[in-house]
Amino acid sequence: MKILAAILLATALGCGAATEDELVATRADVLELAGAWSNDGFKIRDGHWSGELTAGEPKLVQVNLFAGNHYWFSAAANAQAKGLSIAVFTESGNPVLVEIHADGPRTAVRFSPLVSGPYFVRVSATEGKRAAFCLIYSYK
Amino acid sequence: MPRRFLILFLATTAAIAQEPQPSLTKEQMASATMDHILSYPMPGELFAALGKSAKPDWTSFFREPIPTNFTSRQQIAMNLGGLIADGYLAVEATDGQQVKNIARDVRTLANALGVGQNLLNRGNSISEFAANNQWDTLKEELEAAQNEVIAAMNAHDDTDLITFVLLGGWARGTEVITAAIEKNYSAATAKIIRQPGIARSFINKLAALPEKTRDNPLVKKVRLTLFEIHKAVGIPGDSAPTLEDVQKIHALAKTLVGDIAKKEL
Repeated sequence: MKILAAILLATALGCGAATEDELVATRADVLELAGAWSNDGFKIRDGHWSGELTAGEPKLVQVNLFAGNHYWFSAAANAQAKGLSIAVFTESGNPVLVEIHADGPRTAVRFSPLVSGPYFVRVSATEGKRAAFCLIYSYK
Repeated sequence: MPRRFLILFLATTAAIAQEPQPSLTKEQMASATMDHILSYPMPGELFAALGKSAKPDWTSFFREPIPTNFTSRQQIAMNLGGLIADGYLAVEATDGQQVKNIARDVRTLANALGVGQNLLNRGNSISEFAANNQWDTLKEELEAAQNEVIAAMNAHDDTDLITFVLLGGWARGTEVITAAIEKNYSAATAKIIRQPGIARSFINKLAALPEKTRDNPLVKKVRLTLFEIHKAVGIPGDSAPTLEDVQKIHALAKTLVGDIAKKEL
């Protein structure tokens, strides 16, 4: 009975969790986008960071970047998410200037740090609930 | 190029100015994810940052083969990470035989941890790519190999071991780049070694281990050296480490790597 109630509640709220298939699809999407940077000599890190994204609840991951390298952070989300964006912040939490590449439901930012150290990368959406997303990064 | 394709191309590749973003709060920063894979740089990323400006003689940083018959799982995991860093070094030096030797030792240590099966095919392809001088592909294979080890450890609920693999790779990578910077110092290249976030993250992760693991003599020693490294790499972002800073970090990283690879402690 409890399970049935939970299913009904989830259905009513329209907030089904992102499925494995959706997560895999966003990963394939973002790899396709990042493939463009590979043609320019960027290497894609083998790992990825994925999960669910809800509008107004951005996701934040810490990365360690090196002065002298150039980076592309690329993200994709499924159709439930609109207005996907990526922002990069210094270890003090200040935003950095990035070059943005918008490509429909996918987005990417390019950043060349002058200082090595920890940075924060934020992925957010302006609309949508519990949409699957995937972030990867490339460097050269 | 037909006009409609040109417009489409411009629409999708043009750089767009980003709207001003508010700064992150301390709470937001504290809640940031430290991902097992993306939050930790691979040694190849570190070497790439250095190689661009310094053109080091990578071969000169090779080390003698390390023992592969450790009994402590933590020590095996740290040496596994260190060997993967050695693999990247061998790729930078374009030394195929060294890559094959390291791949063999990586498999031995992975077997000792019960995750060797995951590397069987990977090991063969590493040897093939080394024989064919496919250096860029080898870097990808090495990263994939480490990620497969991590995934297997995750699957076996051995998440503490992941920290040790990452730590071993980072320590060996730091030892190599500080040696290279020391040999040919410039303020610009020295800026690469500023990594306070990584050192702090390892300190926090080791502090959160079960008491029994923390009591391991090697883990105790590693923690003490990490505290010293953390102090040394916490250089303000607007200044470059001096040659003395680099020498100090190198000496600490060398001690750390030496302790990790020592058969008896």
